[in-house]
Amino acid sequence: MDTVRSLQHLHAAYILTWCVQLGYVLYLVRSFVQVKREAQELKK
Amino acid sequence: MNRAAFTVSAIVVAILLSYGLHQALDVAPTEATMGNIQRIFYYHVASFTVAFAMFGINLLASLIYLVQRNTDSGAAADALAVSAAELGVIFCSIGLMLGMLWAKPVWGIWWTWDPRLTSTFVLWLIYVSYLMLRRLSDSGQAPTLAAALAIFGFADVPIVYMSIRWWRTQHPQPVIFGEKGSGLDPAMMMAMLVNIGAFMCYGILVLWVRYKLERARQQLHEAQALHSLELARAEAR
Repeated sequence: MDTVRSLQHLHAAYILTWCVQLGYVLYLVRSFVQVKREAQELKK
Repeated sequence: MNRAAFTVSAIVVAILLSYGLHQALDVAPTEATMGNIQRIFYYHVASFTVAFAMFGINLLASLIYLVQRNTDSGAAADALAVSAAELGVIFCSIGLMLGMLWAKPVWGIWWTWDPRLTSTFVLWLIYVSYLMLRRLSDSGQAPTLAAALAIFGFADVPIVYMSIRWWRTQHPQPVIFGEKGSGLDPAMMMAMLVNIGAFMCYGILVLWVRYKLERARQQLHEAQALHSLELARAEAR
């Protein structure tokens, strides 16, 4: 019962999962950099 | 965890996730009636398993926070609670979106208000409210209120889990711990377990990073508050 549409949904599901997860990891990295910068500014 | 241990853990998690992907897309057999779209199952179940585990961690950390509110371990528990809630929402959102992508070709609709889907959506809303309370409230009471919300919020987790056992739903009946005759092909079971394990390891690693970030934020806010106090004192002199 595979159709082009169902295979598109399957691929979209796997791609979407990792786009969301990678996006979140990038958000964490950016937040870490921001906190570090603010801490350094406070020390000055 | 030092930098070397973190790097090794990240590499191990990446290998596990790649193996899980290989199991889900190449090794597991194609389901007879639904075809390849059923392969969404491996990520769908793994995402919700990690989401429930994160909400469980959030509950335990919230309880610890309520008991040890004014101590450093209380602050650490609060950091863990907010980190786990955020990750739980991420995994729950992914699980819901994967469910919709699976439902459309199989049921012909993206969404239906059946007990499993509705209770899961309510769970998602509860933890999104938890995060909004944490982010938007300036009150010093926000962590305490959020901890109380977390305790009530977790009550929905067993309802979500049991919903397909208690009520007749559009969502499929349980294949694990289900009725007689239910179950999974051993190769499908293997793919599911590998993905749950890989997602769990990934979730714990990211939780650790998120927790470290929250602790760094707490320390920064403390230092900023002390700095402001010193400035105010200097001005008063």
